[in-house]
Amino acid sequence: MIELKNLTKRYGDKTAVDDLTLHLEPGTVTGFLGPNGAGKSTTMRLILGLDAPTSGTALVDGRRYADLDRPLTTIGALLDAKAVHPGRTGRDHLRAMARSQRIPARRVDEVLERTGMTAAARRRTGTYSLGMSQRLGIAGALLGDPRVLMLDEPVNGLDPDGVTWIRTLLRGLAAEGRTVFVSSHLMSEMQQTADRLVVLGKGRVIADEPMANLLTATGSRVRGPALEALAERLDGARWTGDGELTVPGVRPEEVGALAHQLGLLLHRLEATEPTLEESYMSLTADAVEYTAGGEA
Amino acid sequence: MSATTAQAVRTAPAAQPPTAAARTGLGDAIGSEWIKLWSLRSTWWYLGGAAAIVVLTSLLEPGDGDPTTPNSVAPVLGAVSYFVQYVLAAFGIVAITGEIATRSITVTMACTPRRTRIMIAKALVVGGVVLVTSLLVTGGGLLLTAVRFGELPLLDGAQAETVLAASVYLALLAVFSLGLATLVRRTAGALSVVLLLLLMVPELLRMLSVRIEAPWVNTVGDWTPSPIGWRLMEGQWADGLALLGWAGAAVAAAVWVLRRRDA
Repeated sequence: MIELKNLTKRYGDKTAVDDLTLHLEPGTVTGFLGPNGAGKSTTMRLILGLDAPTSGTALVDGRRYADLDRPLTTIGALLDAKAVHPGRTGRDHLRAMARSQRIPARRVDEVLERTGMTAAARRRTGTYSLGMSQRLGIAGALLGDPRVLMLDEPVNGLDPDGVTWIRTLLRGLAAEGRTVFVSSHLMSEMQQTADRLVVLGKGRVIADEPMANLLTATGSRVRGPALEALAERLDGARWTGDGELTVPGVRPEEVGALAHQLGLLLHRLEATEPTLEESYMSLTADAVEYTAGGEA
Repeated sequence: MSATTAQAVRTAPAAQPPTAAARTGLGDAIGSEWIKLWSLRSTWWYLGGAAAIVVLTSLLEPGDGDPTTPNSVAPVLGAVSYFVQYVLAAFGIVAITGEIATRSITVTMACTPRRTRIMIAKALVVGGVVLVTSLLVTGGGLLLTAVRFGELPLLDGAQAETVLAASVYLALLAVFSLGLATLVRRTAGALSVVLLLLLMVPELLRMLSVRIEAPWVNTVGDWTPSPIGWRLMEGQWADGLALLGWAGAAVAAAVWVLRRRDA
């Protein structure tokens, strides 16, 4: 598990991570979302001890990364798939990592097999596509069979098969009771992978919700010849076609009851499942409004 | 709600309790550096280049025409001071700048969070490999000349001492270059600084000391790496300690910077 307490990182006068407090639980996939420059990668660098925090602490299984012996057996991370020496083969790259942790060399071949990299393992990494580099990076993260996995944009450069493979892999790792922390800017991907979503903006958490909460806010779509009276009575209702009204956040049962009460004729009434994109937009919009309101 | 979960996890026993025997040490970092070094083609180019030039010099050496006296060590030492030392200094430089430029240093630091250990391991591997290579190459060069001219003994005591001195010089120079390159971070920059120090600084200081009539300035120049190296190869082993100082200071500065700088 990963515990961040008031984690802050400033580069000069720019605050990359701003007072971040977060607990990541075993057995869950936590999606880390946010636009580029929101501080996702910096947060992960702080967890790995690559950069020193300005203040606050980042603990992995209760200890600072620098205090972990054989750290790859506690937390496996992929921060930058292209951060490998292009002149070295994928297999030698992993062998050097394994040797530093006293991980037996046969484990290298296991993770190569698991990531589908066996055939490419004896080629130099300079010849790899981004997708292959990502797979090698994931092989490196799995090397120590760690209880915590942290991957920064692992889906980048993967083909559709690779995307499905990653999703299955991450779900499987969480099902084994591991803590999985994965960043992405692709919300659709998170929708199918994550149990919990942490949204970062300008180094701060602007939303932190279980995925279930984000996806169960069912709305309604209703069709009828004359729905003007209904539109007036429902907040947020908008016309999405000729005689079609979409009402986010209000369940069809309530819409139907209201239509009945108003004596309106309906041609169709159905539930709408909001996409994560919509939830994300409304969440971040709320956060922005809240911030603006708070400062005013 | 997450507090209870967190507590439950904290009280759960660790899956793999670390035992004293399982703890990693310097040896594991050295093992990792060793794999990294030999898995790059450039290593073979640097070391092979150094060997090739010494072999070539030995083959072209005209000999003194007298099989009863050993040949001069001058050609091999010439190869060392005109060419080999720069190749092996560059070898020490890329051992760290190669990782910084490719950002693979982040992987190294994730594997071994103790950065002092990384630097010591690199210094030992670079120094050790250069020492052994130099012994083989310079010793081999002298043997080659001796065989060509049918001399016996193949290598006398004085020659063996020169071989050892040259190898110690090259090893410490490579370690110094490694440390300096950690501070400079870039291959070209580090190479410029090393070349400047080896080629220009002693000469510049000598000229300056004449110009301002201050002999001590020349003395300072005498204690830069290349003049120390010459004296070491001439058998002044005590002066060689100063070279140990240069290498040690560079590595210490590298450790200091590595520990403080964000990766």
